[in-house]
Amino acid sequence: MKAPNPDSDSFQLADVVAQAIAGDEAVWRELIERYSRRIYALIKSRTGRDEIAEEVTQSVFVTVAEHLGSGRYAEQGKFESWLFRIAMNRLRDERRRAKRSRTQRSDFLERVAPTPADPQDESEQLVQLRAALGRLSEPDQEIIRLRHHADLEFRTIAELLDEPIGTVLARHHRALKKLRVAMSQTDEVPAS
Amino acid sequence: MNQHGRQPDEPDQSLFQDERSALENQLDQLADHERSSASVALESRIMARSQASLSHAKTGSAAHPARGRRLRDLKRPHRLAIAAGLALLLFGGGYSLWTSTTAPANLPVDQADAASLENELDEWLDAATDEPMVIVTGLSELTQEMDELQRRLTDLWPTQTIHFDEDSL
Repeated sequence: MKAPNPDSDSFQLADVVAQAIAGDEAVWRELIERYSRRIYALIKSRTGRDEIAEEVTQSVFVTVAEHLGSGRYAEQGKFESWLFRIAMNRLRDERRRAKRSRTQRSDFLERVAPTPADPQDESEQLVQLRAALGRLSEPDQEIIRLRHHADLEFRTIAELLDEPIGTVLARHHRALKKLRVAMSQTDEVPAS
Repeated sequence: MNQHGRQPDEPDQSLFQDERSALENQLDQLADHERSSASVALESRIMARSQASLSHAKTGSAAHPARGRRLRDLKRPHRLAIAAGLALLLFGGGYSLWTSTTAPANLPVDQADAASLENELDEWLDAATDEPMVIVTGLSELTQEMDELQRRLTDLWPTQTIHFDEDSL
């Protein structure tokens, strides 16, 4: 398979964003279709809640539309990292909100734990993988989710996190190693 | 290259390379599963909710007309309640929020309303011409967050007075 040309892809995306800024609703819909489920997966994976993932995803696009519509966004070829930074900020706000709420504290802890809505729909392997991922440190989870759930290139993750790409690559590699260990520990736990 | 066709831009690590590829493919499967768990109406809901903002780009108007009118129709305590709602949104529950009126701002801020509340407040702040005051009172937890809360609200609302009065309860 031929790898996509990142520069070409960026150029096309910049073109698409420019058309959205000009108020082209069809192009805006394309952007929604291209990114909404990736953002949804990012949020859902962290919170474990469909309703929160849906609300946060919607709010991210409303914010983006407002910025595009009001001229507050200047296209500099970093649309993806900007978009997912908004999503990450919303996720942090949501986590902060939940943490500060006494009544929701235990609820939040439940969210952190892997609790798929309908485990019967998932293979045992995916259930174990989600559980193992949830046991990693927050930074390790973050880098894995940005790479896989958000489906971002490493250079975009580096822009988003404002870290050198080498650091991002190393973080991802270390996180995978830890995930492998966490998976093996899961395997050793006898089923109750 | 994994099943998603991303570039192999990760470092060449012979250590557990096969396992790594398998693990990455499993993660991609998990991610696909999460994406597919979204409602089939997700995109259309986003489209419906964001269309007003995009149409602004077409018309070039100074503000979102429908939403702006709605906000201007609100009474001042309710506007202030929106501001307090933002504080609640940003910093969570566990304390009370009062406006500068004597009546408490009984804020029905739930998860579903949070983002739209923030958006509405943002627009109202742009149009606000009076000098409202938000008095935030509450529990001891708030003290720890007061500086941060004031900074965030001041950033959003630089021309207005924001007063924190922990003892007024």
